[in-house]
Amino acid sequence: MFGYVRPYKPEMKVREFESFRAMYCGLCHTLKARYGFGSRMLLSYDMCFMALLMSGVTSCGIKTCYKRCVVSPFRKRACINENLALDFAADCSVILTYWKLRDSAHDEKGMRAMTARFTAWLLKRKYRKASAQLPAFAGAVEQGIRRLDELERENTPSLDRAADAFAAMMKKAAVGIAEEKVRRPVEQILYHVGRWVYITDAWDDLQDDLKSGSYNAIIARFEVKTPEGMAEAREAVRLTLLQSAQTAAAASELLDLGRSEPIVKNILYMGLPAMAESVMEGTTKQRSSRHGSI
Amino acid sequence: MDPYRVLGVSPNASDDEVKKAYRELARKYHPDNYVNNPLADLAQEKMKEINEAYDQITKQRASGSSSGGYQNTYSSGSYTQNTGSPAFARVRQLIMAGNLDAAEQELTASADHGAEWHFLMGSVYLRRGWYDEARRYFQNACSMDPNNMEYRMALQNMNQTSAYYNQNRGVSNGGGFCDVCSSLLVADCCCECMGGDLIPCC
Repeated sequence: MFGYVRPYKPEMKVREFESFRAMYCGLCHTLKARYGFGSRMLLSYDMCFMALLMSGVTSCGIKTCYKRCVVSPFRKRACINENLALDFAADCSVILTYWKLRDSAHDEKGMRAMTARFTAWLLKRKYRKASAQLPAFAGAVEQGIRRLDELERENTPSLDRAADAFAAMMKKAAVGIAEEKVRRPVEQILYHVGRWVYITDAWDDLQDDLKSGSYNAIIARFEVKTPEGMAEAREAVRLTLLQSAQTAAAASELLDLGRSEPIVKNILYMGLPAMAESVMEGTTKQRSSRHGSI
Repeated sequence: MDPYRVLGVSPNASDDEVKKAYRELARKYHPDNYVNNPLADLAQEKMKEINEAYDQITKQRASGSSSGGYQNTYSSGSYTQNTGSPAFARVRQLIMAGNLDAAEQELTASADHGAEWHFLMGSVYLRRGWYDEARRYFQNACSMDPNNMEYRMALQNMNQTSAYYNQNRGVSNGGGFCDVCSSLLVADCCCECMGGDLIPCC
């Protein structure tokens, strides 16, 4: 996915950071176990957040083990395994990446389209397996990507309409939660984190899209024509991002998130605003590792 | 339900600790944090639970004297006031009831695209979480009818985040310095009324 949804490390306790990393390592190992070695490329912070959230609300058993891996071949690292939320997040990663690749194969030109088409083809069998696990979510993602494509072709001037197509498909990930009192807040978190991710990504791509002339929801909404014209849109985008983060945070207060609680709250209260600030300052792209997969 | 568990304190906690825990939770689930939020009903339930737990503990401890905690009313945005046309009164009711699709339909069908129309359209989008659209419509409403307090309040709310959210992300809301200045000016005015002068130059 994108890799924007991360905790704000300076405000984390050491044990919270350890437990976040154990979840991240756990997701990586789960991807490998379920979908083979290459699937580790699909690892992202965003889906780690999904795993944390789902593991919190379902309070499924957490087992920690210590494993070596390619990144840390000598020292064993704490890693969560046998967790249903991790299986769920791994399936979601495959589904989302597959449709994102299909979409870029369709939109991009030349070499990039070829690469996307080839990678999508490689993922095809894995996608079938994942969508058999989560048919409702896979359907929602397919529909959401189609809807986004339509809106892009119409060149819709509404930032919210475009973001809604993306956010609504993320919200569908909560469809399996039976209890209404839990499902509604989770849906609200996923919707607003999804909206936040879409708009943050649009801002991140602003310069490139201005050059290439491809559709960008912020350009369409604020009629940005030059890089200097961004200043006017900046404040409005900053506010709207904060409001989504706030709504997601308010929803998280209504849930019993168990062990995930401090990390999820760190992400919603501090991680998202800090990341938005860094994207708007243009400091994210210089960092080599975005951990956003593909 | 164990009232101590609801407040997250041990049964041996002092009265002050219980009060502090209660205050903290009441601030968290305060209606102000759930204005125009579709989850306001769940927050209200939480608030009720906390109030009951606090009441129960204080009753147990003081054996009989009820303290009556915060009395909070969850009016989810008052959309019933100063409405011009009867058609808009219906739209306001629909928004209050959370029937956003029907409200939007009525608005799209309406021929009157005045300030109130823009305000109501903004309110529908606000409830949906389409904050950028909501802000745009509230801005239109305000520029059409700059003296309407309802529209101005709505726009002002779009331009800030709640104090609770800001506090938890480590940003303070206060313009502390401005407060000092304005209170000095007020003090000066008072002094001048009484014949003295606190700030000689003004």
